Amino acid sequence: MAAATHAAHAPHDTLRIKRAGLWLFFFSETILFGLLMSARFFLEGIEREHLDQALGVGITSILVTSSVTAYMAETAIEHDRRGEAMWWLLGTIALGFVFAFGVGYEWATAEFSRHEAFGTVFFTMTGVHAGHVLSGVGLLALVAIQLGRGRFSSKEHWPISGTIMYWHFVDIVWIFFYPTLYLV
Amino acid sequence: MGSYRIGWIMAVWLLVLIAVDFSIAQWVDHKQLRFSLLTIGTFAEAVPIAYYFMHISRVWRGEVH
Amino acid sequence: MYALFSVASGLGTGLIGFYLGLGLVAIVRGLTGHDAYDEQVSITFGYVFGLIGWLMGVGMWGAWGREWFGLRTYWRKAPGWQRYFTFSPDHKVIGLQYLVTFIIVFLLAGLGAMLMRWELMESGMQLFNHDQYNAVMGLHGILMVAVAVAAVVGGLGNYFVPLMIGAEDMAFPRLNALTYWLIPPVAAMLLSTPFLGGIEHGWTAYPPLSVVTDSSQVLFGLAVITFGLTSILGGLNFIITIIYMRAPGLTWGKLPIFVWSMFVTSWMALLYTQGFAVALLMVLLDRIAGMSFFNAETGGDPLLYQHVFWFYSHPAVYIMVLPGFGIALEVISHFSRKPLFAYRYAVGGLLGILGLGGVVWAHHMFTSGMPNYLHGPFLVATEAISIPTGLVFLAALGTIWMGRLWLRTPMLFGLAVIFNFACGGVTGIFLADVPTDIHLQDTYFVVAHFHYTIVGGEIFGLFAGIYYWFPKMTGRMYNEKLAQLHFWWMFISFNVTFFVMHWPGIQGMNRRIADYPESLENVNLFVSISAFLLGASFIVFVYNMVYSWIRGPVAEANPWAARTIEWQIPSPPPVENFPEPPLVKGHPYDYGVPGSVHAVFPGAATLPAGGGGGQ
Ligand code: HEM
Ligand SMILES: [Cu+2]
Repeated sequence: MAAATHAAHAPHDTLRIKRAGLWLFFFSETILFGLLMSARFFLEGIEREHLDQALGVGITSILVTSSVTAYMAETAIEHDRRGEAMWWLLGTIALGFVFAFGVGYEWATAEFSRHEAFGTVFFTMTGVHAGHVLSGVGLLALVAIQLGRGRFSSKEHWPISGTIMYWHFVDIVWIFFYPTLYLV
Repeated sequence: MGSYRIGWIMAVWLLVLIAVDFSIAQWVDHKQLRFSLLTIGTFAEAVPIAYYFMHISRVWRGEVH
Repeated sequence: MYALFSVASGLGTGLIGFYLGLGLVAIVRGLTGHDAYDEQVSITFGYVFGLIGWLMGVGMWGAWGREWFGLRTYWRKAPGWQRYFTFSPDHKVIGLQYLVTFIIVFLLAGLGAMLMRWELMESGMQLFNHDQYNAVMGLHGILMVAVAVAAVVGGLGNYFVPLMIGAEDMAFPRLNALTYWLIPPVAAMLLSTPFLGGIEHGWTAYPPLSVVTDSSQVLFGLAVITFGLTSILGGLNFIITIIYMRAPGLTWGKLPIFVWSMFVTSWMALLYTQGFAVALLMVLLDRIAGMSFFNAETGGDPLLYQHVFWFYSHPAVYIMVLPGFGIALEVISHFSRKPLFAYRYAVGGLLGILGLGGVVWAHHMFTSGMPNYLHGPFLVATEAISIPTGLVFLAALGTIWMGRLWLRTPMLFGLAVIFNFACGGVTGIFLADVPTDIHLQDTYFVVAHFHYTIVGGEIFGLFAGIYYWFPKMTGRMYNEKLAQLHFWWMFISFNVTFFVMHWPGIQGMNRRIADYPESLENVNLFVSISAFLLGASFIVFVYNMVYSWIRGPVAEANPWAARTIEWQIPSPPPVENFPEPPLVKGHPYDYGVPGSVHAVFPGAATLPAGGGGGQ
């Protein structure tokens, strides 16, 4: 009911509004992750615990690469290359899964337990982040399915762009979490 | 509109920085210095992602087609 | 029955989700060799799935979820009052949903206060044992905090911000509906805490108690995290709406002050609410996953909780009070028939509070054992907030000064906000000074302080807003005599109750404890009786509202001759608000300025907004 009448006069640039809203959402999530990071420094200072460094740098590279492939997918759909966009999207999803498995492997082999302070922050931070990765994978899969049904074009692809922005955001979070947990 | 070239350049930039960060963590022993260098490295990755990949400037410049 | 169908399908899918969650936990735990059911873990996962089920069933699936799968969306359309029970995108429906829900919560939580005062009439234990007292106290606290955070923002804010800026709706109508429909599960969870033993830790939920107490704490944590989500998403929606949906010509310098206060409040909600959620998430993890955020034996630190918690909960007090300020300034200008004095300074004051509000949280922790060097900075920062707050007061007093005051009920409540908050602010100074605070911390002095600020500053503002906009929302007029009776009754009994309450506080009577030394019996008896009178005043309010909504005389379109946009359209406003977006020409408060108009409505037969402003 309301939706129909509202469309009657839409003086506002809806795409711009959606984009700004998504950024505010990221901003708010940043504070969530920032608080978790602060908790880590509050409890442990800038000391680091022994972790599998090779695994850490490996999964970080993978997640960052997935951001590149996601960007390529968006660029492809902006050029109306649907088939190509599909491949980049599928690649991103695959890399996302690899990352999640990497985190799972780290969880299984970690030398500390969740009952001690470093384990507590490590599992919480990676866990909350991995939850975001998995939800990102889910969203990417949803837009990939719709892309497969021929829905998006260079004119109308906000769901893809929005999802991919979310993916980049999750990647940025990891770019901060990685040194916080592994390197400092 | 995004361009493929930016994608490739960014890929190289990000992977190099990851390697740099990793080496800092291995070779710099002074804690505060390590922390500061890593902070710089981290922002050097995050800001270009926000700018080139997430098109943050479209928030104030509007959509470009 | 659309209403019944809508709510029942939500409950149905919610239950399915809940049992799905329980089942999943059972399977995973069974496979890993644990008992299939663990109260805390099962509740947590059951709740998460149940919440999703509830949302989808109540209408989100049709209106939103289908889109994620590329299907066509639809709204459940219900006639008349029944639309208040559906997942509706209309900000006016959502506003009333919020308002009515939170008034009910307010009355329930008030009942809790009455029970506590009953127990405190005499020293020794009469009505409750200690656990029961704590359960009632915690429930009262958290429900009232929820009311204070959401009643004005979600209710009046939702209803009036789009109208006052000349928009056809909020920027994200579906998100708006989502934020409302998250509330019933929150209320249900909180209200069921007594059945699992009752929360013992008050609304602040400090560990270690919150980690070791009974599993009603899990309900509390999940409910508050959900509520935080509502608050954040609501704030996001307001910010975007105010930035992008203003009518042509409505520049920042012409924005009604209530909209400004909502804007600032929304930033606070968006920036800080995560603190409460993260703090409770940590408690939850300590409880159900055996983690060690707060266990000092294994490297944790309970102070971490206090920092994260107050990082939200100090800004939260501004989330509570700023909309109250906004309403007070709004009605004071309209009812003094004068331009709002020092408008720009008032806006600056609000922004200043936004800036400073985030750097004072540790004034709640002076006695917590945090490092001493933190005392000074937090003392100074806290007292510095009185500067921007003073600007808001300056605007209020300057507007009243030499005004032609029209003392109708909204105005009375608006003036009471200013009076009460001044008292609350003064006691705040004593609490912000470390030496006095060490004596007063955790006594009834603090209780008196925050009731003066929150009830006096915000709940009075809420009532100002309700009376002021009642004719707009319902199209009917309330009974002025009863309303004034409500005002004087509430104002006097409120001030007597909480003013006297400072005294036992100074004598060292501890808050949150069901018993006290016999020497304080007389004063407590007095406070209790006065509190019962305060509670009784709301009977007048409820009667007046219900009766006037159904039977009241039809209201004039603009009974207050106010200039702002929302008063220039029919009451209640049509679904689409404005046939054409209004064009804003002048300042909203230019009463008595010859020839000024606030807004004109192209293509409509209405007078230019502010037609009544000449008097
Ligand atoms: C002039 C400004 C204010 C100052 C200087 C101030 C100062 C303080 C201080 C220092 C405390 C800690 C007391 C203690 O636990 O020892 C406190 C507690 C409190 N204040 Fe204020 N305050 C001010 C305004 C407000 C406002 C505007 C509100 C709400 C609208 C508010 C609500 C509260 C609440 C709820 C508590 C108690 C929290 C708890 O322990 O449960 N205050 N205030
Ligand atoms: Cu405070």
